[in-house]
Amino acid sequence: MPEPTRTEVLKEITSTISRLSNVPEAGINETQLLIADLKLDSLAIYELVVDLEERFGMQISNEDAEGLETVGEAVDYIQRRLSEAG
Amino acid sequence: MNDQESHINDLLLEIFENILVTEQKALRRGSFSDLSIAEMHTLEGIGLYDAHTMSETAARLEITTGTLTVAVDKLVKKGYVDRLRDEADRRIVRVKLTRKGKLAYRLHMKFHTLLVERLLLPLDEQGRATLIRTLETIDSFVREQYRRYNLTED
Repeated sequence: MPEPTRTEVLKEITSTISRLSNVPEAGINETQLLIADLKLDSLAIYELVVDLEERFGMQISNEDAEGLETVGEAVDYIQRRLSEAG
Repeated sequence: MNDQESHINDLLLEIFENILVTEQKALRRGSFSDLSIAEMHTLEGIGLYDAHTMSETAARLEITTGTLTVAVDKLVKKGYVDRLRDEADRRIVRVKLTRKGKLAYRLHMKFHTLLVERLLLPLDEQGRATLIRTLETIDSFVREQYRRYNLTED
């Protein structure tokens, strides 16, 4: 299966964050902070992580998850992991 | 016991008691209020990813498979654990965490991470090494006593 493009990864993350934060997808951009701007709490961050694990077939540690501050960093992280596994 | 020994004894008992009480309160207040600490530790034993067999999980938790079966029954009903038949051998039952179980596990691990980070914060490398050696000695002693009492009971 071809590796998802950056746009596809961003779309997946934005869609999950929108569901968790009730912020419309159009109102989410890569520079936004997951906690301060999008108001995700610890549980919501872990929900995002579990979704991404299932969607992209990878394991993400709590430590890695807690290091992700912005939407863009989450996209970069998934892309990096996918290309490492690829 | 002299004053110093008595003080150490009080601290050990207080730390042990307060960690358990705080864990329980954190669970009660959060999104997983139907979980007891013992159940949370069963989720830890099951692990985040792999579907281990009941006997492997019981060994990891250092409990009997009978005790684990009772605990898993409750956790399945509460939606934290799934039981599945082994693909290769249908007689073997494996257990794994559900999505809800994974979320509870991760949130609980965060509590432990914060605890350890707070403990290490004021210590330099030497202090940390001393703390680890001391805790290992205590752990080894308590485990040895546990084994001895277990043998006596058997």
